Amino acid sequence: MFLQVLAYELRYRFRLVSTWIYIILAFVVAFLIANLSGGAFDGFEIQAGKGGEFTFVNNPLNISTFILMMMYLCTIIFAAIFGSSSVRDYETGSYELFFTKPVNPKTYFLGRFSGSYLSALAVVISIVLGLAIGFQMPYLSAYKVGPFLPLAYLHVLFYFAIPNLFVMGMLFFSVGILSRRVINSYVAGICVFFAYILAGMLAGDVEKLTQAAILDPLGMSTIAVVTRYWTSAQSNSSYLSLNGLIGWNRLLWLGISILLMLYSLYKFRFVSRLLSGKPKTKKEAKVLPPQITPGFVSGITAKPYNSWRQFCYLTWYEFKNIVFNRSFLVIISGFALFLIITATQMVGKIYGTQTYPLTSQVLAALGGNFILFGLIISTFYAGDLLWRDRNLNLHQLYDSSPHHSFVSYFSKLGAIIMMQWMLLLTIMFVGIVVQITKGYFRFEFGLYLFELFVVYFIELVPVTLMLFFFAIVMNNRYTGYIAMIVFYAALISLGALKIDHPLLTFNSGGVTYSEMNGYGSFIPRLLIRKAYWLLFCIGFSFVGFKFWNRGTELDFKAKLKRIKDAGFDKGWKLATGTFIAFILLGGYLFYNMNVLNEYISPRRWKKMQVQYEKQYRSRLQALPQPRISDVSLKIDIYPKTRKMDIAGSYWLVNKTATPIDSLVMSYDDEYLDQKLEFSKTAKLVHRDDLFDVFIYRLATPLSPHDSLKLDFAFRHQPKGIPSEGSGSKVMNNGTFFDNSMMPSFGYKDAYELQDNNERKKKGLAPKLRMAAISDSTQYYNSYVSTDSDYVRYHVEISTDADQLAFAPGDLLNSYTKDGRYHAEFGSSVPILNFLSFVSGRYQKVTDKYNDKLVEVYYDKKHPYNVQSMLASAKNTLRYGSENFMPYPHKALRIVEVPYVYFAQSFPALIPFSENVGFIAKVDPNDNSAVDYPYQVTAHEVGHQWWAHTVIGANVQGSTMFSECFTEYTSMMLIKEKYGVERMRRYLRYTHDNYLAGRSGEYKEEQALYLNENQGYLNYNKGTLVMFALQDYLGEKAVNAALGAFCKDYAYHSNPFPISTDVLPYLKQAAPENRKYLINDLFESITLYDNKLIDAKQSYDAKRKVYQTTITFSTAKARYDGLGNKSPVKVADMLDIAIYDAKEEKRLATKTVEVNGTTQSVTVESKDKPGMVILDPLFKQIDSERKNNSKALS
Amino acid sequence: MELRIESLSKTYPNGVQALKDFNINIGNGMFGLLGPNGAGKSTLMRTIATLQDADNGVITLGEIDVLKQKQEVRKILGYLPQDFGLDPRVSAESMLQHFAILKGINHPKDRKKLVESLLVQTNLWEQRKQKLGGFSGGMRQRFGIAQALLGNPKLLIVDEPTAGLDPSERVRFHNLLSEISQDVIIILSTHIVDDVSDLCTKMAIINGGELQYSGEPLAAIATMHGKVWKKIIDKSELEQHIAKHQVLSSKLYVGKLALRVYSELDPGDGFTAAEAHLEDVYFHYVGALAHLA
Repeated sequence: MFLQVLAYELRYRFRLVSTWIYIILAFVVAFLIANLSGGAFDGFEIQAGKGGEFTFVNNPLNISTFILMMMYLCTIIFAAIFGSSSVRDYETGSYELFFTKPVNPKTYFLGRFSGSYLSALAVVISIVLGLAIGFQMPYLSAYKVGPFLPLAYLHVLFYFAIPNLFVMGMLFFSVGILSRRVINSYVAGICVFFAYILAGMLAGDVEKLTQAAILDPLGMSTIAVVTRYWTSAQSNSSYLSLNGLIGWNRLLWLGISILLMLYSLYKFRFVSRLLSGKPKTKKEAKVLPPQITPGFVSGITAKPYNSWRQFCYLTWYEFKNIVFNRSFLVIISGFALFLIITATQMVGKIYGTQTYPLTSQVLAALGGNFILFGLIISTFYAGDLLWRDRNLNLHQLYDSSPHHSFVSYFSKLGAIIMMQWMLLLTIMFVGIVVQITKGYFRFEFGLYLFELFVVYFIELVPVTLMLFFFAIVMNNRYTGYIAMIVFYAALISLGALKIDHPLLTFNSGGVTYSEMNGYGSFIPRLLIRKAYWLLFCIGFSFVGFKFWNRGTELDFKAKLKRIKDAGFDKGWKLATGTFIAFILLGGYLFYNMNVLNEYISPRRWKKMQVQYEKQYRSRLQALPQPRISDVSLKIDIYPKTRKMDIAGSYWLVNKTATPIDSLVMSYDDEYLDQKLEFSKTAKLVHRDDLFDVFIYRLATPLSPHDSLKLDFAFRHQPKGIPSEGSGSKVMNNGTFFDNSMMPSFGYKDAYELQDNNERKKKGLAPKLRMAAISDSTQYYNSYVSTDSDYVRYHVEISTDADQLAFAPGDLLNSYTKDGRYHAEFGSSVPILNFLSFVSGRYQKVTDKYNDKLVEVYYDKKHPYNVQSMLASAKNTLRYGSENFMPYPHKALRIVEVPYVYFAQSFPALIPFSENVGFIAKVDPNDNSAVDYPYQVTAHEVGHQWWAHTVIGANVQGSTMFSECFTEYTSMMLIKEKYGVERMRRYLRYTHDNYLAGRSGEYKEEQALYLNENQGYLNYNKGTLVMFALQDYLGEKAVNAALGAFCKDYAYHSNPFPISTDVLPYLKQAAPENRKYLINDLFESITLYDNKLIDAKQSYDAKRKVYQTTITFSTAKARYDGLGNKSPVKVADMLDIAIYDAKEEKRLATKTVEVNGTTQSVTVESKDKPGMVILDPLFKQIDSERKNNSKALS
Repeated sequence: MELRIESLSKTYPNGVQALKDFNINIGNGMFGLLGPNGAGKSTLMRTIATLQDADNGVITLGEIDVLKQKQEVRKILGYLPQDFGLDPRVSAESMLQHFAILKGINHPKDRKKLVESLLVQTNLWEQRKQKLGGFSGGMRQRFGIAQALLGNPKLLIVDEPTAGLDPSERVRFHNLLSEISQDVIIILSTHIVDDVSDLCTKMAIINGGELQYSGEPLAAIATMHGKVWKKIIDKSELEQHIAKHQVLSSKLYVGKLALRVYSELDPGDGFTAAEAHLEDVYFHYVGALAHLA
């Protein structure tokens, strides 16, 4: 009997066109994905899992990721297959026929399920085949696509695809069959999606990786977590294994699904009506029927012309239909739950430390996935609403009533929009609850309402309109869904074809909120740009309306005939009118974006990069140029009109040994309209406005050591609506810009195309990410500037009187006159020509270190951490002055700036993002909380020495000074304030960041001293290495070495120092038996594999001490840049620490000499040990940290 | 007002020709439309009710061109389809309210009065708060009638309205219809001949998409007067009688068959004269063979 039910279901499924569509679609999309990632389409590649020049796109990891990704995308298809199969007999009313047949309910259930399962499996197999065949296409780039690994596909199929389909299928089927409503299967699909996104978010926090790996029902995050540290070499050769997290995840979810199956089998009965719950026995006073005058039946005449009232009523009616429904309750509570978890976990977390729940932060965290969810939920309800009357067989009653079709069309749309408001209100509600629970009461209702009901809402409306259009035109709920997906795929491929003009990018235009600057002046632009897309979509709505189903003839031909017969009626007129308005507004925007402003498409930009290099590299690169030696600027900022006037002069010196006759300049061509004058006669001999290359020939060449002066002036102001950005560097509050807009000299290496694969295609020689450390031609440039070394400097800056303005260096003078604030800055020591200017409305706090003034300028809404930042700045000034060199400036200013997500150090001036330190909430009750406002401040102040006093040449390894040593400085300040134990959390994050970072390396990893400015090296590995070094050698010894190096190389240019200059200082600081450390830490990629094998404890009652005997093994290996491993001999020190059970207090430490064998050691402690940890301070980088610790019972 | 249908034709995409050059005029009062299943009744009704288009032909209702001015038709239309569903989660009262709104009865007080009176008329007052999902077939049918009567229709189309009604409900329904039939065109589609003979002053018989007969029921019966003959036979004798006579109908009668035949003259063979009924007219036009086979 089971087989008959199964066969019946299969026959049914495979007779349906939709099944074949799913199968073919899955194959085609998978095939395309394989081709895209294999580089079949020039310039458009997609990536899953791990990428990189040396990582095969079809390695086992990437194959798994692709297939799982596609299965997630197919959730809706699976929900359709399983859901519809589970409720089909109820919907068609044939259940009475089935249920009276001698079929066992369990057989019916399992047979139906298995039939659906097999047909869904056909879709999955089609994905796998599509991918496998796609990757075998001979035209794919051979260096991207590795060998065909059949085992990899089988692994995905058996570890993931087959069990996942069971998990999803059982959920959708059970929910459908028990509730008898297919909509609930879709709701379950949305919940699966929630779980996936949630797991993905958890996976963003190293301390929650295990939870993320377990939680994801389909195991995608599990794979990401397990392979987090995989290098290129490992990804290319390793298969996923069921050992560990993947196995547990599979077991858990299969187990849950089997339980669900058993429950459903138990619950499922052949009954005609759901008999759950008690019948409602509402006691109602009996109302007597009204007296009917005999003969009176329907004396009230219809007035069918009040469409507005009908619309309002029907909208409300449809809205109630959505909302007062169990499935909506499930969705909205799932959504709220999702939001709550998001909020408690993720509000702006950095190193596990959260920010204050400012409304903008809460909104950013909660709203992050809103558009996606809003779209999914709306799609789903649009389908439901539009087909509801027909599913209920009500349509003949509806359609013969004298309401205008507009009314029913727009009331359904209105109901969806109101449903979206409910989602938005949920965000607001959850946001406020989160704020209250965190003890934060400054609710910004205005901001909530505006961000949600204007910014988010107008993002969603165009999509909703398109949704309706497709749902109606496709004439079927499911094909409507598919059309919507195809529509989005088409939009993505438009991007792929590098057609990305904002006027061709659907629904483009957005706005960024800043705590300091609010919405600035961006709202009108946002509204205009959204109006453009709204018109587009409204036009389609009118067209879609022509296809509105009314009556009993739904076939497409009949519809087309009806449309044709209706002729050019009101609907077409409205559509035409709207499209004309759309085009007119588009013309206006095009004028703004392409004529008033410049628009360069990425594709054109790339072409230009190639052309620039081909045209100018050989001619200009080696051409000697003068260096800027003096910079003098006058900057007038007008925050209200967002414009500024800049006037300046440079002194240029010939530092070469030959006379210079040509000056190669770059500047925005608009300068020409303003002012550009040389102190010696110079003639413009080459003008290239496209690349902004201007060559001046000097009448008399500039002899060696001779100088000339350049005066320039220009105005900077917004011009209409730019295609991206805000059109001006000046903000209403919180202007922050650097000197990259000033004129500069020489050939610009940075303009060149960087990606080597693309260079190969364009016929360009491969390019190094950074010049080799041996390339002495690059020793004469620092890595921040190619046309200047240290310069003399003077700036006058002014702004409106209610603001303050800042530039680097010492404040020489300031005054307010005629409603303008003026300030003058200079420096007693030479500074790098890397400048920054700030203007805004500020509060300030001040302190002093000796005679040095320390100030923090902040927005009045953000007073939370300014005292801590002030203390950090002061302490770092002391630490640096005492250990490295005296601080050269009179003051140090930290100034809050909007929009960006970083802090940046300039001489005596540190612009610091409103989003980073000012709003962090360092939990005073959490002993392990990372005080990153303190730490980041110390890091930035550290740059006063490590970047501004000593800066590396433009070669590999030079960021070691500016990032490793500043990280070191900040670590020492944290250690000074909180002690070593408090740093473990930060070290844990850093350890993870390094390992994850090297796994995501695009080219090759280097040893630290050869780093190419990769963050995971100079920041993360730098931190681990420097922290280990000072722990091995002592902080004093390291500081002595760094101090000596700093003094020896202060303000060194021509040549600038390189990383090998500092290694001897460090080596010298190490005793003979520790000199190998420099090699391990700086000069190679060395990782350890320490394992705690066993730990046993006993209590010595006589001596009243606990004795813990620990057995462990050690191993050590060197790696090449791709991650290929070669073991080396172990002769190291290893710290073995005993902690209490909560891992808060260290009870004892023993440092042992280790040799690579299994060793044993006994550690004594007074208190009862709870935990043994090898290498508690992450001095030995180890990609398997889990086996480094053990809890003692 | 008069409903005029001229040379109406409709062929469905699957090739079924539902209406063939169909002509009829229908005036005020009750009009019975008789025909077997698949005769084209529902196609005709749906076309008049603006739910589908015809391939050819014209329908006018007074001044209104039904096929073009659909909205105008809908304003004066009450329609009870043969087969319809209702939202199971909504109460009868609010569903009826809902339809009242769709019909354009916007004034809340009027609407309330109207809805209440219709609930009483259709004997649904007691069940007005009950969810439609719990309605029996008869209750559903009565609800359908209530919604069709909303808004004082001038043209009322009821497709198989008494299917599923018990005898007393059927009587009540007939009374309701006859009360309002003065200035209203009521088209009653049915295959129950008694419904027509009880209620309708005019009727038409339709089969195979073509009009077979149109006129008054009594006149139709009169044309058959003296031409209907009956006889009781054994079941085994049926074949030979079919071969010999123009059989109108045969019904089981105490284990035997009561046979009625059409004949201008006395067919002899044991037949006795029978009083003509409308049913005989119906079978005369529709042909009994289909129903006997």
